[in-house]
Amino acid sequence: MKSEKLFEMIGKLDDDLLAQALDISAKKRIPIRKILGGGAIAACLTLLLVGGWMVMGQRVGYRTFLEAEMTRDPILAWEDPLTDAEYSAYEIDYANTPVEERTQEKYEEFHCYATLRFQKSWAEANYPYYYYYLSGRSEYDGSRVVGHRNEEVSGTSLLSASRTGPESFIDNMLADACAILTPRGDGSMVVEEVLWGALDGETVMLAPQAVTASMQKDLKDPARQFVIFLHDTGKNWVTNEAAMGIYTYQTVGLFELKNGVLEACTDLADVVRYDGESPEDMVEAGMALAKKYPELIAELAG
Amino acid sequence: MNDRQIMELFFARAESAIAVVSQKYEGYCYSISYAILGDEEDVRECLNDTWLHAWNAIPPAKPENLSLYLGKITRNLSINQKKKKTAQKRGGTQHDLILSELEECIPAGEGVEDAMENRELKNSLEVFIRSLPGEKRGIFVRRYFLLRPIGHIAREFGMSESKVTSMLYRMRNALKNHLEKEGITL
Repeated sequence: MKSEKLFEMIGKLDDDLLAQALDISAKKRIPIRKILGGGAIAACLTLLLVGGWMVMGQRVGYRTFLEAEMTRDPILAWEDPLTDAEYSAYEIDYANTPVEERTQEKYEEFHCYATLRFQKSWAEANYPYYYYYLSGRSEYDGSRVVGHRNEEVSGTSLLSASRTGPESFIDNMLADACAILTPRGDGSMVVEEVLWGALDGETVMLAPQAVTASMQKDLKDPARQFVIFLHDTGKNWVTNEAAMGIYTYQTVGLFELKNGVLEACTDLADVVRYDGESPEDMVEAGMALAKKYPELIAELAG
Repeated sequence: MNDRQIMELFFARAESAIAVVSQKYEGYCYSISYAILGDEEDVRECLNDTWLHAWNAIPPAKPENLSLYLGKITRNLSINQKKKKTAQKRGGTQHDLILSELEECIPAGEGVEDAMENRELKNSLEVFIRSLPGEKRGIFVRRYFLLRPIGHIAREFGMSESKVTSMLYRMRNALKNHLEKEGITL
């Protein structure tokens, strides 16, 4: 009853206040230009990621991969399948479709159109779509936070500037990243850098990102800092305050930060030291990873 | 057709106003109502009432923001409908039955005390929402006024769902602290 009253009262708030709040859209972030279509970006990134994998397989340095990535400027060209009026009519038509007639196919089509519209509005607003979140495993040293996040992303939501961080994800993949963030006065976080990788079926795709000297200086143990890519387990993460489904991670990749570059993985003892919350899980995940990708582990460790 | 033209139809008492407004705003109002009622038939009824309510109110009402105006009507009607449904579902025991009978004795409208409490709560909520920085305010109102799903808000703001979830969680805590500080109990 109490929450109902609060909910009801929100509906009676001042019109100007509501209208003003509803006018607020996302902040303008890093500029992007518009040349390629979303599909082209996804395809491009597929090549990029697969290319990255091959680069690593050929023992070419991460820097090479990074430089290749940074020279790209994924750009969006909007090819609108529907005019505004057509989309509006389509949306109404969908809303009017009886629930029993909303087949999976129709739902997917609607979802696709809706996503494209969002993508268009982002492109028009000229900001990239990036991801960051601090999990229960974040570390804070007084001025900076090393946090981890995990996000299921879709290719249609792909926008990236690639100038300040590789927030480039790919269709139907589970992308994993570790972000280094700086808190602002209002409690929000500025993304300083995102370290990222992904698991696609049987293939691990990694996109190591160099960490600048100033960032490395701010890390707790600059000489030997592990960065962990995580994978959603679907289990609840229990914090002091509540059990939350959004903190459900498991390690899938372990990397060592050395001289400003992510270089190696495999030191499981150090991993346990790094995250004492669930050592058994961490070890188990690390062992599974090592078993599944022995060549990778040997190569990275070597 | 833009909102100004729709308003002209209302003021001209042209019945096409209802068709036009329902065509333009059905999806928007539908999503609000469905989030509250979760029943197709009830939502249809509620939307029909929304158009009728708007038709009866405009003129003399001349809303500056038609979508907000219709959203508010839909929201209130849906809440009332939900209350009605919940009351109908009760009645399993004599106690429920008696409560339901006694509800008929309660005069319509708010008591003076209720009205004061509601005004206090409304003012406090407005102060809180005004104090929120830009994006947070937009997100709060979309979630709790428009009842937008978190995924929808996340896409709109270019954030991850977990980010939005976390922001809302913090805002709810902040609101709780704010109401407590103001001495408001619900």
